[in-house]
Order: sequence, then structure tokens, then C-alpha cells
Amino acid sequence: MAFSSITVLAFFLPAVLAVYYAVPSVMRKTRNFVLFGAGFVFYALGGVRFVVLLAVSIVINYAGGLAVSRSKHRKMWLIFDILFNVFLLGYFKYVGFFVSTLNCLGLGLAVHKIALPIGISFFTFQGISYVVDVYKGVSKPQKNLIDAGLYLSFFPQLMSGPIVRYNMVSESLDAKRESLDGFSAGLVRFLIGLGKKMILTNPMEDLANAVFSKSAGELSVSLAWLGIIAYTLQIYLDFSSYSDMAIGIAKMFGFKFPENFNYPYVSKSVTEFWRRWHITLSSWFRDYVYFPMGGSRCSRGRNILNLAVVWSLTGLWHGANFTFVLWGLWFLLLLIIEKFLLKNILNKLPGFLTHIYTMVGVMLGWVLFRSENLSSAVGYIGAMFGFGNGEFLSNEAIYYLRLYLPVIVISIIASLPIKEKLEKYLIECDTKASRFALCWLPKAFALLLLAVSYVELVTGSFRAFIYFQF
Amino acid sequence: MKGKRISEIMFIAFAGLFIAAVVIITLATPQGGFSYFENRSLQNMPEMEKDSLLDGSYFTTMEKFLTDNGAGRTTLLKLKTAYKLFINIKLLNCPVVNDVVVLPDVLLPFNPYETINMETIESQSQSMAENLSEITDLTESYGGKFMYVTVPCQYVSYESRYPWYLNSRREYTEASREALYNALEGSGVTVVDMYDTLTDAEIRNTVNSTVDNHYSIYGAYLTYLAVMEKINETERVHILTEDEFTITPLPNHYVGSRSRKLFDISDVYDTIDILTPKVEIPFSRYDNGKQVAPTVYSMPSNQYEGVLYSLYMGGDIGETVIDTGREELPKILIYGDSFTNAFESIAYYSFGEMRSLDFRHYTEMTLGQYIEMYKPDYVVCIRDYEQLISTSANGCGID
Repeated sequence: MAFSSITVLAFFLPAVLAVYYAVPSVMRKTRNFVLFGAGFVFYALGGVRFVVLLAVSIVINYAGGLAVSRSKHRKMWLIFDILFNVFLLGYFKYVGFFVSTLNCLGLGLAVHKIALPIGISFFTFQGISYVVDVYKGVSKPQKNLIDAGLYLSFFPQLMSGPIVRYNMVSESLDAKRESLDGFSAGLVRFLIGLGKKMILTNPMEDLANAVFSKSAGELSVSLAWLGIIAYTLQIYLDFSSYSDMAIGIAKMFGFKFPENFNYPYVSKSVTEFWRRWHITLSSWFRDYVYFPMGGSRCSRGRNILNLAVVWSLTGLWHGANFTFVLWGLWFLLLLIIEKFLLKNILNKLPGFLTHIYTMVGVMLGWVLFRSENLSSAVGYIGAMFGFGNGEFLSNEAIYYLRLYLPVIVISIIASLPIKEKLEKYLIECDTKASRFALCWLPKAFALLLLAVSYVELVTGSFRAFIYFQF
Repeated sequence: MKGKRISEIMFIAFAGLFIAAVVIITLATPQGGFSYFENRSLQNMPEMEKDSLLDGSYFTTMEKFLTDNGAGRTTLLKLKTAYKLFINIKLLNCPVVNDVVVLPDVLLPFNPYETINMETIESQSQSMAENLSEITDLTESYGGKFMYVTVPCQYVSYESRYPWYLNSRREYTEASREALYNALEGSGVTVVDMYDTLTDAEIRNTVNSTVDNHYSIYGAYLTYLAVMEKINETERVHILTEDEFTITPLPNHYVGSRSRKLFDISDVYDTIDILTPKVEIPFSRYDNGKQVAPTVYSMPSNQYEGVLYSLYMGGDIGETVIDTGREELPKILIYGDSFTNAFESIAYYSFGEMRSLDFRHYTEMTLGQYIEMYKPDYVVCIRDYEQLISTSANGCGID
């Protein structure tokens, strides 16, 4: 169930907040238990059948954490725990894909449709990071099953991240963490995320869906670019709005989640883009795959191999389809070119040129990401460069441009660090008016977003977040 | 610091009150029912079942229930439509709101952009022509006569009014029309094409509705006239002439299919009229086998009630029989989509018995079986240009 739903906004979240804050703040364990239970209820909103799977994952990772810290066979337990998580992910997410792939070789194996438990890519990765961190001594094992379970099933991050490391929240599990200031800031952040999703993401999704539903032969150059611009904005706004809401809700309960995005579309290289995009996933792959394989402290060939493994896995993590693998490999290619060939050239080029280069590279990647299959992606990219219906400017593109231009412009503005710049300016001004604005404006804006989002919620149809599928 | 604390408390309180108000009003408002403007049933509270809980569909339906019955939903939908009417037309210069093209004097459907596939059109036309030939052969086998009556729907009548960058479907209309006529060549199917008459710019606003997809009673009358003239080429059947009836606009507000999509808040209005013969004839009416009130208009209970196109014949019904008891007059079977309704409210006058079928709702017999059972003197299929070559439902053959 998405945060941007009446069920969560008007019923689930207020109910959890009410029960949570009804428990005296000195009763930390009881409060943790409320959140632990809320995680399961939240997960059950998407279907009760996988709740047991979540529970098993919690128990195994909890036991794994204890075993790798105490047992004589620490390494064996570590391997077992990692294999368990990989098996869980592999079975539910990739079995169908691998069987279909093998069938392409003419094996004729039966393909069983396996339903994908929501959020499995996120909670298995958190499970692995927890046990590995305990094994490496980065974190202490959690002895309390409820607290360990809360780390893995805390509902704001359960479905779509951010992927939180245990040491980021371990202290908050026992300490007094809530404050009026934090609650208010969290609520502002949550409502900004909700507004982003309801007001900007959904129209961009409508536009992108309309364009991507067409065959390449129906696309003019302008329509193909309009479609990918819309999708570029949609995927960022969608995912970052979910992260905003997750970070906001966590803050309302006193937890500090890591940032997942840092305005990736201002990047001037693909390398920079990946430092700003889905930060918690990139750092997870860096710390738990890339570095253990040797990272960049090895020969150039080995380094490229390490990168290839990481980016193939990154692509595959996003979906069991070759388009996702190719999407990962596309970024591998760009990153290798930047690292070994373009590094000095990019530094010398004017900023706007490097920005254009980065955005074109990223958008071509999003075509792979969004397309149903490779031939659609190739056709779409062809249409972007004039091999669609042969037209440059079609009536359809004009229509969509007229209808969506204001939302596109606002979405672009929302993708830039204007809020931070405005905040900085107001802080530097340090006048009575600027202090008043800093204090009241975000809250008034958040309330306005709440009202508009509610209108959009009851008048529009329910839409799922893109990252739920991962 | 104190000011910040006050702002935080006030902010949290306002947000909490807003959510609380939403919850209270949502739960206090009567739930389920029908959304008049959206023309659909609202989601009822789902029943808790094991399977739906397990697969998550219970909460998905619950979410639909909560959004459908959300506090102030209809009012908010109207406000949002009014906002879009202002923004899209005045600021964006793009007159499309809720899939309606809003022009100063007419509301037209927004047609999605399409690529014309001649192969598909030709193949559909061929199938349609085969169906029509079958019906013609069956009808003629016992001495009856079949006619395929094609009427332009609103977007065809007003195709020149679309802004240049929107899809008027001109290409599709021309292609499907040409393909069907090519396919029908030499088939012996009688076609009555109302295209030229109903798209004539001089009478366009009279014979079409500016707020609904269907023709007006004037358009239906001209269609009736064309059909009767075709019948009178071989047999003398009384035609209701203009001096034998009056056409009266109802004082009620006409809520057309387009205005309904706009929550009836656009500046474009139209009237809905009824045609009343000066000399009325008694008749009995049966809908789906049950006797109902002998009327061809589903009249509103008062003049303040909005009226829909379903005024004519009470809307789409599987089977309707109107028996005037004049056994000396021929029998007619009319089938087709809702364009038949206004036509039928006039046509019964010229026949001993009129039966109408709508195969979107009627399932008891196939068309062939019905014709063989009833053996009407005339079989008339009325279809609009959007459905011209569609073999689904009322585009069926004898099977």
C-alpha cells in the first residue's frame, strides 16, 4: 500500500501515531513494539500471504546476527545468512526470468508464475548489510528480536527504501528520539513528498505512459523526446517523493534515515549522477560487492570486471529483464569511458555541455529502463533521432506540450536545489521577515500540499509507486 | 524559539484537524451508490474474505472504496473541472478538459491520436459487409427488406470544428466509409447514409446536439424520413410529415454526455426536444417481455430535473416491443446502438408493430434466430460512424 493513499494517509498513519504517542516515552521497548507491529500491518495491507516470509526473514537475520558475533563458525553463518537472503530474492524475483532465458536455448522447462513479495529487494539487502556489518564488527548484534525486527520491517522503508544500515538507527532504538521539532520537520517532509507524488509525478506518468504505449513507427522526434523527458522527471519525482515520505515519517517517530537523492539531474557527469541517484543502493553495492571484490585497488582489467559485476547486478536488482541488465551495462560503459577516457576532457568543457551530455546519457538509459523489451527500446531510441514516423513535430506532441508544459516546467524546478538555495538565502538575510518566512513558509506550503494532494487523491485513481516493483 | 514552537504546534494541529475532518466526513457520508456525473456505480465497502486478504485485493478495493466515497468528492471533482476549464482554455490555450474538447459553442469528444491501418480497416469492412449480406439474404428469403442506416456521430458532424492539432478522425472516417462501400459493392445490401444530411453546416446545430454524442430529434426525424422514403420506393407506408407533429423543447436542462463529463459546468448548453404527433395512436409497450407504460419518452418528474439522452425510449434496453394493434401495417425490427432510441420514438407511428433489439444487452437469441422467429417486413440496423465497421455487439451477423 502506497503512502499516497487514503488508507495510509487518513487511517493507518494517524492510527499508528496515536497508539505510538499514547505509550509513555519512557517505555521505549513498548514503543518499538508498536512500530514493529505496525510494520507487519503495513505489509499485510499489500496481502497477508507474504507476512510469514517477512517474519522468517527477520528471524533468520536476527539469528544470523547473533551467530556471526558469537559462534565459532562465524564465517559459515555469514555465508549461510547471505545465501538465505540471495535465495529468497532469487527464488521470488529471478526464477521465472532464468527459466525463460534457459527456454530460449530450447530446454522447454515449465515456467511457474511466482508472485513477487513487495519490498523483497529492500529488506533482503538490509538483512545482508546487517549480518555483514555485525560480522565485520561495524555494528553490534541486536539481542532483542523485536528491535532487530523493527530495523528490518520499519514500515516507512519497508517497501521502497531507503536501504538503511543498522548502525544508522541502532542508537535510536534505545534512546529517546522523538521531539516536537523533529515531528514537525518530518511532517513537512512527508507532505512535500506527498505533494510531489500527487501533483507532479502523476501527470508526468500519464504523459510518459501515453507516449511509451505507442509503437516506434508512430513517434515523431519531438514526441519521443517529450515522452522520455516526462519519464525522466516521473522516475525521479516518483522515487524521490517516496524517499521524502519515508524519511519524513521516520522523523515523526524520531528516526533519522539517510538521504537517497541529492538532485541527480544537476550532475555534470554520469559518475556524479550516480553519486546523487539512489544513494543508499549505490553505496550498498559499493560496500558489499565492489569493495570486497577489490574495488579499484587492482589492475585496470580487474577493476573493469569488478565494475561489470556491480553494474550487471545493479541492473538485475531493478528487474528480472534483459532491458534492466542492459540499462546497468549502459551505465557501466559510460562510467568506464568517463573514468578512463573522458575524465580530463569533461573537466575542461563548459558546464552546460557536460550537463547536456550527462542528461542525454541518463535519458537514453531511462529508455532501456522503461521499455518492455530490447526491440521497443531500440525503436524508441531510433524515433528520438528521426527514425520513427519521419516527422519532427507532430500534432500529438503539440497537444501534449500545450497541456503539460506548466507541469513539466514545475517538475524541472522541483528537480533543482532551489529550496536549499532559498533557505540559504533566507538564513543569510537574517532579518525578522526572513526568520518569519523560514519558520512559517515551509509549514504553510506543506498544508497547502496536503489539501491539494487530498483533492488529487479522491478525484484521481490510485497509482502505485514505480519502485514497488523492485 | 517560542515563535518556532508555536508554529510547529499550529502546523501539526492544522494537519491533524484536516485529516480528522476527512475521516469523520468520509465515514459519516452515505456510502456506495451511483455517481451521476461519472455515470458509474461507486465502490461499496468490500467484504472481508480469506482470499482477498491473502492476495491484498481486499485493501486495494478498500482504497477504491475510500477514494470513491472520500469527503466532498463530487464537490471537489466539480471544482477541479472548473479549475481545469479555466487553466486549460484561458492559460494553456488547449481546450481539452476531462476528455472533452470545449469550444465556445459545442462540446466534442477528445479523440486519441491514432495511426490509420488500412489493412485492418479493409479487413473489418469485409467482415462487416459479409455480416450485412447474410442479414440481407435472410430477410429477403421470406420477402422482407433489410437496411443498414449509417449516421454521423458528433465528432463526424463537427469534424471541421476541431482545433488543427487535435484528432478529428477525418482520416479514419473517410477510410472506413470508403472501405465499407467498396466491400459492399455488388452485395445487394441497402445502405441509407445520413452523412451528407446531418453534416450539412447550415442545419448542423439543429440536427445534432452540441452537448451530446447523439443527433437531436430533428436529426432522428431526418433519418426516419430517409428510411421511410427508401421503404416507399417499393411499398406505400405512411410517413409522418411535418404538418402532422410538433417538436417541443423541454424546459428541463439537457445534460448531454459531454456536459455530464464536465460536471455540467461549461458555458455550452442545448435543449432536448420531443416530437409529438398531432393525432396520437394508442399502443402497448413491452420491455424485455414485461408490459410497461405506453410511452416513448421517459419524462422527468419536474422541470428542474436534468434530462439525459435516455429521455428517448428510456435509454438502451435489450428488447422493446411497441404494438399499435394495426395488423394491416407492416412490422419493423430495429437494432443498433443508442442512436436507435430517438429514431424509434418516431418510427413506431408508421408500423403495426415495432420491435427493437440492442445486442449489447439482449442475449436470448441471435439476430438470425430472432428474424426467423419474427419475420419482420423491415429490418433496420442503425449505427453511427464510430461503429460503422465494428462487428461487435450490434455489428453482428445472423449468428
